[in-house]
Amino acid sequence: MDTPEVTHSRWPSPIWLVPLLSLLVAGWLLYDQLLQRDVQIAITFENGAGIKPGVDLRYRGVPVGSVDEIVLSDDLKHVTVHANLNRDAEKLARENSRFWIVEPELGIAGARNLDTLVSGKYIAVEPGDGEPEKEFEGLETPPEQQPNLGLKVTLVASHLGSLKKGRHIYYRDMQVGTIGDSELSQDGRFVEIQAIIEPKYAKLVRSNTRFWNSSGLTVDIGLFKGAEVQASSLENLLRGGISFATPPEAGPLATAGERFDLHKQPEDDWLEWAPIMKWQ
Amino acid sequence: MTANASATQQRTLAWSLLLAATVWLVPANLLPIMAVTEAGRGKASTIADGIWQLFEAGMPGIAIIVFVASLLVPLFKVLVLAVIYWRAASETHPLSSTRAYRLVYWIGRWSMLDVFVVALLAAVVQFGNLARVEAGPGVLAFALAVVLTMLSAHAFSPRQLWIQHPDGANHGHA
Repeated sequence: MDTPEVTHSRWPSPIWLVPLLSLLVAGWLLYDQLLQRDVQIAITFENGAGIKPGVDLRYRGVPVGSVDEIVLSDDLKHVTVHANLNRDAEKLARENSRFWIVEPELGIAGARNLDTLVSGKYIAVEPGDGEPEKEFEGLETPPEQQPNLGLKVTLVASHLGSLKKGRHIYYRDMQVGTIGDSELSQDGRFVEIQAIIEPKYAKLVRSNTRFWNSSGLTVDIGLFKGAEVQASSLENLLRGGISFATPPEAGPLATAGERFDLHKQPEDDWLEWAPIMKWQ
Repeated sequence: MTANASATQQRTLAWSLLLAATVWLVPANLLPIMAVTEAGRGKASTIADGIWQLFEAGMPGIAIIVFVASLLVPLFKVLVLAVIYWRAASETHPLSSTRAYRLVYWIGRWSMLDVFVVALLAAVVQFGNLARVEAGPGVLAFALAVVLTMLSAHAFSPRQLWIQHPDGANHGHA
């Protein structure tokens, strides 16, 4: 009869691979999930209505992060929203990145963001172009309603009408600017409306340019000519806007802060004016 | 000698599996085990988060149950097994050790409860943006820890606690 030969391997038992592999995989998992954590950012808003912890941050409609907590600033003038941005969306947080709160908008001229009625508000982000950044100032209105730097002139009107902030300014029914803040004049006799013309169209505004409120509907009824109805565009009619025209003998370029009267309606020949102005 | 050798082998197997289970307990407790999305808002929570949420929601009873079942028991099992294995070579109180071992072995079958709860919720609660439950990476680690603990306990035979050494107890094994 043979006796079994007992050999001792110098290597430790292969079973120790189990804890070793566990250590490797668990360590990687922890590293992946914890150390490479989401990017923390802080956004300051004037008003945080509807924003709660857990609210999404979205870019192009896709969630890229969520709100952690909301704190009031020390002077009680702002709310600071602390949010974390997913790792893959890290690049959205850089200088000049813009954050704004998306909320449902209902109006005669249309409804927007109706999904937020059900899912609640969310914060949208538009990436900037600078260095990575952690702290941001949120916009109060979406960037398309947010005037960039442009030529700012003051329009003086007797009534504000429907010329709310964010409405458009048109040149030949083309949108070339936005209406900014408006306030009552010092003596209380007028309303001063800030008009912001996009930089590339700034040359269209001259010192003798006429501005008028184009939200109205002009109805002219005469005994012999019947009724004549005039409106610049349907959207303009419903939402309100300002148009302007420059006379054929165009004056010097308008300077920032220049004051113009806002006319209630255009005079007939204004619509005919077609000065040659190199705007580019 | 052969009995001793196989006992050593058994213990090596049990030890290595127990070590692996211990390793997995760390991510199991640190990583989120499930992500609950309610009305479009998502929140991932670890075991400790979940217990704290239950507590804050005014359910201290359930919070304590979850705390014991999900946090204490897995740790307790690993610790008890470690003590049993450690003392196995020179066991002086084989009866109490065997009882402890049987208790741990018996608890083992209930330990996957957490995993089942998460799996069940993740399968049933899928209402799009209204409510959705997704399993997190922590639950995988938790399941692995539980399974490895059970395998470790299974690899160890309590019989070796009763091996009488020629000169009585305390015969340290080399």
